Amino acid sequence: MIRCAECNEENMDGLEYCDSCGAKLEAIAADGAGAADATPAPAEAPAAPEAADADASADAPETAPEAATEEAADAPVEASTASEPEVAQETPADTPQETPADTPQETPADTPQDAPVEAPASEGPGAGMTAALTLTRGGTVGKVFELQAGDNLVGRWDPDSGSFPEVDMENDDPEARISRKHALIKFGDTLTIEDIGSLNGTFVNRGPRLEPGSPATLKDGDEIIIGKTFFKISVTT
Amino acid sequence: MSGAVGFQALTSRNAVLSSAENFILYVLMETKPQQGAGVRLPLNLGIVLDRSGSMYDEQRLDNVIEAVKYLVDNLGPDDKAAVVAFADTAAVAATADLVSSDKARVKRAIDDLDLLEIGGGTQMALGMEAALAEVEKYYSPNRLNRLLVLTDGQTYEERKCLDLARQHRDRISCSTLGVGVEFNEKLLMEMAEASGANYHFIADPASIPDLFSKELQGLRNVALTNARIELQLSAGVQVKEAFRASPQIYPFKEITPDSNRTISLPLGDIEAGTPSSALAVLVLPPRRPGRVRLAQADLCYDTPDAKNQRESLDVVVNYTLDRAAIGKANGYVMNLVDQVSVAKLQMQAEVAMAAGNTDKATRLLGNAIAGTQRLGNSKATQALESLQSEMKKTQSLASGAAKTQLLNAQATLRKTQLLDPDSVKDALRD
Repeated sequence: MIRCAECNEENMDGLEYCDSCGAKLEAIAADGAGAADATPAPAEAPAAPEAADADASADAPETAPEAATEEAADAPVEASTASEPEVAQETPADTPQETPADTPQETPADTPQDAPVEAPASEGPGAGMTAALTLTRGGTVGKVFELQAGDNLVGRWDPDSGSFPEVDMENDDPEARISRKHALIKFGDTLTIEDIGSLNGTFVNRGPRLEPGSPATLKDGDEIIIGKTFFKISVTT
Repeated sequence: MSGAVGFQALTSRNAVLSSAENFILYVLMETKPQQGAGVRLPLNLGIVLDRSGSMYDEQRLDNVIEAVKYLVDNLGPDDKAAVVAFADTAAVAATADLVSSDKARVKRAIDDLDLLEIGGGTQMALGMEAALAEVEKYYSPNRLNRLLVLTDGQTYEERKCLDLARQHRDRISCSTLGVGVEFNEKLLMEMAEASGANYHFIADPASIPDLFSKELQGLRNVALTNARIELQLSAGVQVKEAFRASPQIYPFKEITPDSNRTISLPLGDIEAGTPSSALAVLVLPPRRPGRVRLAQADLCYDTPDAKNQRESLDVVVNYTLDRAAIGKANGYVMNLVDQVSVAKLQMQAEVAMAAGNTDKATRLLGNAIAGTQRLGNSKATQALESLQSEMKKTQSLASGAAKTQLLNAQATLRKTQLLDPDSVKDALRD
């Protein structure tokens, strides 16, 4: 085995580059001269514990942020399910700022996991903030759709399937490239768009197709493509 | 070396230590048909052109029209070429036979691409289907059957495009050209890799005619078609990874051995005078000292005169207990190992970046930069450094500038730096 000098990963003899970090592996154990001079095989065993220690300390800063985010995810659950008031008081200090301090009180205990995600949306847009979509290609160019605070469904009006979208594309999408329930735009103190399982996809600034379940944040001037219809986002404050 | 196709299988070392552990050995399988061995095969092309709205930016369409007209001018009476444009729908602007009977009409049709009533979207799969149908009409194993797909945008139904490229890879290869920064480079790369054809990134639309002429030159110089390397592994030997090592670098995705312990690495059409190679990373089992055959490497290919040709070589290594007998590594093989490793690091950095792990991505890129410096590939060093600094600055690859750096770095690293084999082959290193 060759131990990578940079990340301590154990690599198979003969490898040129560390499998984990890609650093050039210097001591090639299979090579007679190299192995004999630089790292004699018997010396490797006693050296191992030291290396393991170094490993732990080197990894510490890396793993710390992960641990922190895990805690953050867990914290609201603990706080809202625990009946002890002290726990609830302690949480704000431990939790990163994304989670509002009052979340545990506001949200019922039965939806603890959703709480941090939903919280910003429920606060509504800032006073005087408006947002709108302007159709730029693939329909009635120039048509403006004002966005309401909260959820805005983008889709096609279809009473039979119970689809009553706020942004109704029924009249501007003759080829029906937009799904009945295509995407969800949430207008709170941030503006986000989420594809909710459309057939032809949702794209922001011609980036990759949005995955259902992972909303993208929108800002003034962004371009979104819904199916085959292009929109420009405008936000005023 | 064997025969006119110059097939050889080189191991990174001739001898390995007979120890109790598994270890790694690199095997480079390379073919280099002699210059002039290219037989001018009649072409059967399907040119698939994006005519979506964005193609009007930066005079992209104008350059494409120039490029295709140049191509048409340089086709012979026995060549076929269909021109298909796609947007919301696809339209055959010129059928495959027209080019041999009435070039003027083909050129007029190309000039009029603009007037086709096909909307402004990007339905690439429809374009590919229409072009494949045209190419199939004149399909012959004695022609070079290829699609040239040019696009500048995200397409719908990406899966379908890839499936089309894969389904036809044994009959019709597929070169792809991406213009600008908005196309999906992964899709275009994979489409080209499926058949071992070429992927080009075009930052400057003015270079489109150049690339078309390069592609045509390549097609005229093809010596072997439908080539692949079959590697039959001896018992106990495993393949950890395998890469196309030249003329472009990319990983082979299907490396699970079949019931015959054989893996098949498709190389596609091979040009004369340029090395075409695959690099396999083998995991060797512990063995007693002695000479051992690790695998049999076969190069399978067609030429216009003979189908299903096969050149076989044994990949042999000496297991020894004597450390001094192991000697040095083969410099030529190790140079390609280095190049492949750097390209791989760049790909890993991209994955890390996509997962939002900027620190890891920066570190991987740092190691890749060190690799390019060791290789003395200053162009690649520069491309990677620009990418790294852009990444540090923006913490993402969402901006147009960052995407340009990324595409540039990808294209630079994928292109194998050709060395004079004689200068490095004997330059053994430790």
